[in-house]
Amino acid sequence: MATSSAERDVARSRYFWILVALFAVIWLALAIRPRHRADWALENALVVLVVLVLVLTRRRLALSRLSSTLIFLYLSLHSIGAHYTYSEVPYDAWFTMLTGHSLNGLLGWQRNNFDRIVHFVYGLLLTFPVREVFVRATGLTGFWGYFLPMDLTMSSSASYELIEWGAAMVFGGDLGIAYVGAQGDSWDAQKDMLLAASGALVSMTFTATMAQARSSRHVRLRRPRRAG
Amino acid sequence: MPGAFLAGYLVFWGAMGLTPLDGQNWVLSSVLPLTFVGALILGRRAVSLSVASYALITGFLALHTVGAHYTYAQVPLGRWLQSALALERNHFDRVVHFAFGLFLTYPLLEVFQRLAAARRMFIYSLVLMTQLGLAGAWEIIESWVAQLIRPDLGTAFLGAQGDPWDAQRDMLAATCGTVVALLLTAGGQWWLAAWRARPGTDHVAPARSRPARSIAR
Repeated sequence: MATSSAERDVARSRYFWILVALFAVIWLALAIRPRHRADWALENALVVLVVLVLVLTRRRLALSRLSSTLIFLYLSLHSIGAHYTYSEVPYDAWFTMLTGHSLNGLLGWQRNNFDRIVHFVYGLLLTFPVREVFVRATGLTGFWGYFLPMDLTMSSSASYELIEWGAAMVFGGDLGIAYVGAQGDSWDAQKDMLLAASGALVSMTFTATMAQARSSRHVRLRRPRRAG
Repeated sequence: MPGAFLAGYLVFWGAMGLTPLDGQNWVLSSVLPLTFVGALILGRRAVSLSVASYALITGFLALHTVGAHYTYAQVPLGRWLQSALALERNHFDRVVHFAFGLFLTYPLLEVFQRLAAARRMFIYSLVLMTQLGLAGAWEIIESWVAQLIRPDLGTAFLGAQGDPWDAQRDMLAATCGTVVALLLTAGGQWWLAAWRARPGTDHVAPARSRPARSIAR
């Protein structure tokens, strides 16, 4: 199946816009009567900014379908957190409804850990798109092509903790507490960053393994031909 | 690491280690710096830095050694600052977090510039992000140590001195130090270029001492 690069660009662009439309529907649905409007607005300020940047730079970034899908999944998950206010996402009730057991009870969790899950997923899903853009921009391969995207995930996670702190200082009160979402955990910032880094590590290990497997398969396929 | 810096650091480290305020704290605080120095020695061929970079690294390590000797919360300079400015806590650790950005950014920049032949703004942003990432990693390690040794203390432990936003403030201090270092470096390079090209001199483009080498294989 020989497709020209122009055709592939059109297909990729169509896929991108379908995801944007899908996300718009999800986002609007979750914008209806959120638990706390102010916290919802605060959580979505960055989302609107990110989506705007992605749309405006879509040609330069030229994200692959996989990368667009990963970003889409992450933003959708975050929108759920924003709708319910992270610390009140009823994931435990959903889990109980589906399985008859309490997830928090099974895992011995004392707090609503939806935010921790999303911090991990942040590293897991977004490091791959970051690597895609980063590798194309720098031409780095090998170790640094995997390590530096992880490092960027780690530092963006740290920046996010700084933004949360700033917001808490500016808005204060209940809104600040809801936005930070520490739920009384004094090590909240460290745990959040560690989870993002762990997600990034898992994602990059997986990506590197897949790349390794693919290249060694190519070598195996090619070798007999060279011999003959 | 040039021998003089290495010897100077080791002598200073040894002297400060004779009578630390808290032995356990001293040992814990010395693990990472010694690992770092070991890595610099072992990797001196792969990553050989300029004398300026080694001087900056030595300066930072010396500051940290002072902090470790006095368990940070008791450093006299910080105490003096505390009483002079009527602060709630000893801010010497914040000074060292700032120094982390200020002193270690240039060496990192040197490494990155050698690794990747990319535009200057790109490398600068990468260095800024890396420093912030390292500052975050440091806070994570600190929290592990605090939870292992005194799980009952929470944020009242030595490093935070009761500040619930300690991690964020530390990271911000490191970021500020990094930004200042990057601005100083950019300014210094600009000034150097202008001085070399000053009227009345035969302008010869300075030869790059080491060609930028891409790590892309």
